[in-house]
Amino acid sequence: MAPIAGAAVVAGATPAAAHGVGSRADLPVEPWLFAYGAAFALLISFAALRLLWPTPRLAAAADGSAVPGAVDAAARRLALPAQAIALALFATTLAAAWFGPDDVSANLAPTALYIAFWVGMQVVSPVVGDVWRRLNPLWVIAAALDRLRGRDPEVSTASGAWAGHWPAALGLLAFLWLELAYHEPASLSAIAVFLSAHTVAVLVGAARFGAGWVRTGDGFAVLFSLLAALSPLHRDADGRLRVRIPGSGLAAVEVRPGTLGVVLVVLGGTTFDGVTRTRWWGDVVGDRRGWELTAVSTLGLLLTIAAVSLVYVLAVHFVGVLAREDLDLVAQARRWAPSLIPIALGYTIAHYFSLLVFEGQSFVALLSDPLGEGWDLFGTAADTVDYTVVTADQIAYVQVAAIVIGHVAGVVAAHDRAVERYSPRTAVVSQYPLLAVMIAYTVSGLLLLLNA
Amino acid sequence: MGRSPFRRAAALVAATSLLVAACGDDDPDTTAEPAEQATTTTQASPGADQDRAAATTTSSAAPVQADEVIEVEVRGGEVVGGGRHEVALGDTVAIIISSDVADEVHVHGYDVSAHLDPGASTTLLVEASLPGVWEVELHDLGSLLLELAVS
Repeated sequence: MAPIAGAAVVAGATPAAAHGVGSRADLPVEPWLFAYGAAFALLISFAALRLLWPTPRLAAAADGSAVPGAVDAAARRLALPAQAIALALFATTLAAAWFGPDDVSANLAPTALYIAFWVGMQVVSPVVGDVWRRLNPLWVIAAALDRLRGRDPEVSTASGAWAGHWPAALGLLAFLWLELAYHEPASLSAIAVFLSAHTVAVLVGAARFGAGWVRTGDGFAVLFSLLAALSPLHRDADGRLRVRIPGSGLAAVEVRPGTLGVVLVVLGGTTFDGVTRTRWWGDVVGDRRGWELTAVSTLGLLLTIAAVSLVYVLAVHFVGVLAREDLDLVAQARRWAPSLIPIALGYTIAHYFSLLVFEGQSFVALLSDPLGEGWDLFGTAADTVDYTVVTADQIAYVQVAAIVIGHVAGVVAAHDRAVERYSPRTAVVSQYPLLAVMIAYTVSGLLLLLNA
Repeated sequence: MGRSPFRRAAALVAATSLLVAACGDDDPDTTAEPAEQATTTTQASPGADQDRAAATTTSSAAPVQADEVIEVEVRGGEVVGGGRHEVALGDTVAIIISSDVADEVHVHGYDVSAHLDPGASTTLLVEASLPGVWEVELHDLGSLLLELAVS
């Protein structure tokens, strides 16, 4: 059948979905699946307190062992072409956002930003490691600028270190606001302004403090590097590629000021996305539209992040009380931050797995014609989304499994840190508040899936 | 949101839909049996092949053969009877839309589109073969008409 694209009669679609792009939502999970997931999480949690190792293990495993030199060398040879591809994709996305058609189904930018980049990299990083550290186009640009000025981009400058990860947390909050609270998340002008503002903000910091700023000030880069702690692959201080037990890297996460902020913003953001898909939220929003809708959603996003954070801070406060430890709340809160990373990933997968599978196919099609000019660069322009590649049941299993596995990994990481800091007896007691908060996150995450 | 199937289907559906008549009274309550008034019926059954836009136009005289009938009205820029409608996988669903303005309705995923004429009722027949919650939207109004929850 010949394509009749030219005869299109339907104007550009305005997706009503809150989460950037996509006009399909997942079905609510079955109550029995919810019950099994919650029960399994509870059982594992209490077993963990009794049966898990009495001495810390993750830190020793976090380094792993070196991979054969040939593998390392092959990985290094991939870096340059991969950087070139990432830079080209970034430039194309920016160009599409500014100059492409204002139609989410014909323009690469929304799908590239919300699906391939945002969801894709959150899934890729825990598997293959912190590849974004080198692929990040902002890093490539900042490093080139550093070299032009006769500076070594790899030598970190201490002058911007006072900010920690707080600029990253703010940047991610801005992105999540655009995606989840702004009433036109797929609007090309909004995406163009966001991408440009983000790029300028990060590069200004890099010009001031050196390219190292990109790795602490770019919210996406920070988040992906935190998620890469779960990966079996990492590079040591000397840059050698090493393989380790997946998740053991959580013991080696460097928690700076604002790192917890990054994790809580993302955890709260995903939770809010779940909230907006409930009928209850539909009643709250009513028939509000435009900026009125944005105002309500902004309030909802901020309150959700605040609630998720408050629950966590309360829990770590009681950890300190139970461990009879004289440690200020900020330090206590930072200490347990890495155990939230797998939970954040579980939430992300649970909420965006189907979006990635389906809209990821759109991304492949749009790559061939990123600016809506009728091109067919890679022969994929006419590809259509096959909604049968995964079944509704498979999606539901992945959703529940992601939340439960994220929960288990969080419990294990917290336990390992507890036996590292406290006597075995205190370690077990100290974990009750954290366990309670993780169960609360897990059950609320599952409840959102149940009421989707 | 692949653009090609969407546009291709839209074009085909639009090309094959026929407005049967533009007469009859405008009582929106008579749309359950849409034999009384101007009716356009667009049928689409998505399959594995690319010819998912097999659209047919049925006569307004025959009652709609559907397992599930969803009636919704667009009045003064507001949707009456929207929200989420749950249907069983495999059912044939008739979405009967009466509108006081012209618009374009589009069922996402199934890629079924139809034109809405002011004062007339339009019936979209959808064979619910793709599970999930799908948006049915009005393009000109730019808002959600309803959600089709297929399970």
